Amino acid sequence: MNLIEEYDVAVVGAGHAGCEAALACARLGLDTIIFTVSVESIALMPCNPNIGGTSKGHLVREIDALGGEMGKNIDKTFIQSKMLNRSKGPAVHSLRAQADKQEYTREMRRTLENTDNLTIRQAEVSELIADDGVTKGVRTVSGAEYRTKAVILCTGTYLKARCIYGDVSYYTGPNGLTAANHLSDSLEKLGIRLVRFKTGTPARVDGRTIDFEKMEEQFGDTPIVPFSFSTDPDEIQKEQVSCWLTYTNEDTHRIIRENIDRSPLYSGVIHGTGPRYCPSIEDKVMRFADKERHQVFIEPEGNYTYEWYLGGMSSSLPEDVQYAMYRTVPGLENAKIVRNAYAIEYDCIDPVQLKASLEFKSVKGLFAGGQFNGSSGYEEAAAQGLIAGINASMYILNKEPIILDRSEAYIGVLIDDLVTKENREPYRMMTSRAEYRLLLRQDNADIRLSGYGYKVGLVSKERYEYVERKKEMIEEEVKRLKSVVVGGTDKVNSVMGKFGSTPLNNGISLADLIKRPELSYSAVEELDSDRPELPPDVVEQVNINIKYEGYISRELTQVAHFKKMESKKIPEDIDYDKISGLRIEARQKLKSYAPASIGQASRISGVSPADITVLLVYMEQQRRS
Amino acid sequence: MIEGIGVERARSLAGEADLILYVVDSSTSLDSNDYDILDIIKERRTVVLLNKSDLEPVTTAQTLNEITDAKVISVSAKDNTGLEELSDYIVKLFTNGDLDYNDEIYITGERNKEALENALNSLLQVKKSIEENMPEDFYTIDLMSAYEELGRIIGESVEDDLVNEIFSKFCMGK
Repeated sequence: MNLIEEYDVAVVGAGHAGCEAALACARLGLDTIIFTVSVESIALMPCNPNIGGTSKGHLVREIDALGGEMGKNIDKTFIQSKMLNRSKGPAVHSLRAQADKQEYTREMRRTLENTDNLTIRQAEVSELIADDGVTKGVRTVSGAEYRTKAVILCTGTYLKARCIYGDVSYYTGPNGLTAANHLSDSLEKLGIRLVRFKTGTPARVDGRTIDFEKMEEQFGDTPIVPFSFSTDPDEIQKEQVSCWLTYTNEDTHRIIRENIDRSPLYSGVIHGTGPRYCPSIEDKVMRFADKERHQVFIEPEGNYTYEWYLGGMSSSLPEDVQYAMYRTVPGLENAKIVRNAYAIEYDCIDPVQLKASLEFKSVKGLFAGGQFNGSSGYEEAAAQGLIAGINASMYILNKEPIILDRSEAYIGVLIDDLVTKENREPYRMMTSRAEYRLLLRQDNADIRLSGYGYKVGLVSKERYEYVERKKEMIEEEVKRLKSVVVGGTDKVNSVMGKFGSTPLNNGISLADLIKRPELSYSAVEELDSDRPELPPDVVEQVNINIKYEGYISRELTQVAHFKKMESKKIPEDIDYDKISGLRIEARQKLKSYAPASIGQASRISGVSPADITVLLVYMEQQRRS
Repeated sequence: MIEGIGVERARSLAGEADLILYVVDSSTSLDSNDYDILDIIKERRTVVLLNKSDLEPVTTAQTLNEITDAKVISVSAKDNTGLEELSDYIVKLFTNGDLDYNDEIYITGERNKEALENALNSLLQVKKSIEENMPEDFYTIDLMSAYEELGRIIGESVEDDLVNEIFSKFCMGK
């Protein structure tokens, strides 16, 4: 007799995407079951031991603002924290934290186990049950059936996974965990198109055999800035570990070049397409042949172990080549490898099959998030998992899905890029992918997104009201600073002198003074006797809003144009074959992507502005008739 | 009657034009109106566009070469062919100095003038940002604006109000 159980929603996979999805659904009151091939690997970090970094830190802040868990989890488990790009302006300031990997997993598991409405099940999901294009549930390898209203696929790198280095290969998931070998076939039977991607990880090395004297020490920041907006900064100041920086050299490169034919990628054994922006060391050496050295970041995996991670040197070269090449790196001459570097190949989808809500176009109630959608990175996965979880819940509760656009969040850029552009390799978020970087800062994620989190039900009223109050305080203070005028008095000009700023002749508002590159809100404190006591996060926003007012308003003008195009919705039943004047390629792409708006259509490669004009004219004709 | 009015209009406009594009339907033979117009415009710089090259030709380039010295280009508006050859030819006329224009910078229309001015202002703002040592992300804001404005001139940016203009100036039918 086969087991049959009923739930509202099933989440397949308990990695970074799966955990966010399951927590969102459970917290919204839905009866949720989350499946994993191994309970020990809940929120596993199979590759780099850190969260955040350029653009990824932005995603974590946004996840937090929406009511997701990643930011809170890393604040509880980090061992080093650093703000990157401090010198390059607020648009690209990025927070990055090293995690204690075991703590990170344990803490997330603890959170899942203490969440109401959430059931954890260790089992391999082998089949998706759907009837007439509508999701009905899942089956596991034992034949047990779980009937649900929605399913969220977050299988990461586990579908038909294969790990390879040199000529050694084995059909397991990361770290030797069980692969999931049955679900792919079930998905293909439903008409879902799978592709094969690859990613890789470097070796881990015994810290006792590393000569740190030969490397540059990299310290954490003081004071430590938290990821989550709900973390009290005072609670997280602590002792931090250091990371270390070293470099490859010509010996390293020579060994790689001499053995490149033994690389499974170059010899054709690996078929999957790897990430261009996260290449293996052999990729880097072959592609950037004239670069004399590549950075290697030596990072601790956690306080519980002596294992260190070799950032920048992932590889799938044979074991003996790995040993030889790692040992040419200064400080690693006597290094003992604990685990070999390897590449992993896995099934995932071409995300053009998804709507912007992350629901499959062809199967109702089926959602997907994470590396299964062709992305790479923990943060990218968590962001999608959160949105998929929210929207699966909205689907069940018969509410409108949450769709963030490119002007509202990096999450919006991420999802729009996945479902609208051609993705031939694992997608990695970068700041250059966003058009409105000055508006989408990591410091204003709460202001931008708490409203959505509250509307959905993941952000408390208390937190939402705090953010609304914060917005008011910022607005009031900016207004006040514009109205306070200072003149060319001795006091004023001595402050100007102190900061190397031109002395004043006439009166000028404090706001205009603050705009000067060499001045700031804190610089003019002496001249501002009526200044109210404001929390530091409000002060930070006031300073940015005033200093960059012109740029911000120009970017907002661009956003207005963008939003106009996004709001021109394309009817679902439009027949592109009936529109004369479209070029052949454009017609083909429009049919295959089925964009929801003119804005989205304009971003499809192969659709030109002239095609868009033809489309607009056609839609207007239809409207008028 | 209507055809006659057409020919009269052609006569008066031809006198003012710097360049005439005469569109001929290649799937039918030339009629008396065609001959009249070709006669009127024979002193002017003309390009004859032999349209509907996707269909079975009745009037050919040879036919035309016997009656006019004008450059003949085969096009198909339907299939979008031949238009590149036409634009290359027109560009050549400009660069060879065959087409006469004023010493003023040659721009078409108020809209494009505005776009150029906006683009210039944006680029001056970029210059200012560089001089003030702003981080690079600040340059891209105004570079994007300039790029979009220039794109409006060459049709690479989508004009949202263009659709309204098209509907107000032309009969779009059904």
